[in-house]
Amino acid sequence: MKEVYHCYGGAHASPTAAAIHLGILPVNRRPTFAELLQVPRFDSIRGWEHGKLFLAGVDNDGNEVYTMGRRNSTKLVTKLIRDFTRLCGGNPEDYYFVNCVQLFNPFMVTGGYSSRALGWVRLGRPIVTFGTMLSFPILVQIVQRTVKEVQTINTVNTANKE
Amino acid sequence: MKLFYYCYGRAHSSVIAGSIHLNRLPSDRIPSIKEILAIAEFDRSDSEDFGKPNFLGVDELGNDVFIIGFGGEAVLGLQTVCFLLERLVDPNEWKFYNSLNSIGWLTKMGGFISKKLKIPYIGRYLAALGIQQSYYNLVELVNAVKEKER
Repeated sequence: MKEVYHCYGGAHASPTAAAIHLGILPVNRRPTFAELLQVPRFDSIRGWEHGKLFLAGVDNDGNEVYTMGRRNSTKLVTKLIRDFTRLCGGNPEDYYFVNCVQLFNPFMVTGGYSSRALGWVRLGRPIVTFGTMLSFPILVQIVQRTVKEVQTINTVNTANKE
Repeated sequence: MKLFYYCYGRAHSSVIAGSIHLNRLPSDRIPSIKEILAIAEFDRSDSEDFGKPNFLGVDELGNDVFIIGFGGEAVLGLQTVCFLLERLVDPNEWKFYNSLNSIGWLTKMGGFISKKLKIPYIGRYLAALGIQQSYYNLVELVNAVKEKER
């Protein structure tokens, strides 16, 4: 299974979610500023990398965890990835897409926009990091739900194979 | 080789370009409205079909011809596809051509009326009229594509 965490730019919410998934960030408390800034690919994706699947790592169950930026076209990008995987001879059902933007967080939006789109890193990075800390419990919930759902899908798939 | 004609919704300009490419429409004269409306894919897909490639046929050189609509996010769509193809296959075998620049405002307005306002009887006719007006632009595009793939 390929689990793809996606958000608007793929720079903040999805790398954080992938880090939670892979055990880089703690689940039981909010991370500190420094911990968040050490997350791989946190606040480093630019506009021309939207739509690219970044491999964050492989989790304990053997699932590949990816992060992706998809702007506001979730449907378009997920359809494209599924359909072109099928055209290339792959299995489109291999992908499991997880939306990491579930609540409007003004700190992440303004900070992320100024840091990534405008390039004002010094102004935007602290704001967006603060916003990520606020959204952290939601991201933990998303990841925990995803882990459970993917486990059920995997067990169903292996049962079908046998 | 796999050739893709992409436009906004893969309902009008890309369908016509693909049909010219596969010689289903003439390339030396402007077809009648009836001929254009008779094409099976013309004015069929809607916003649900953004990002779904549609296989039209195989041309005389053995290339697969597809049409696809990226909605308003053509750059993002192309980025997504290119990054994915780089990982899976040889991306040089997949070519994308924009057919949206070859048509005028009349087809776009016809498409808007047919798809957004959901009045297909008027919109379809206007779109076909617009295709007639800009038909040779599309022929030129197809000829350039065929020249490149030779």
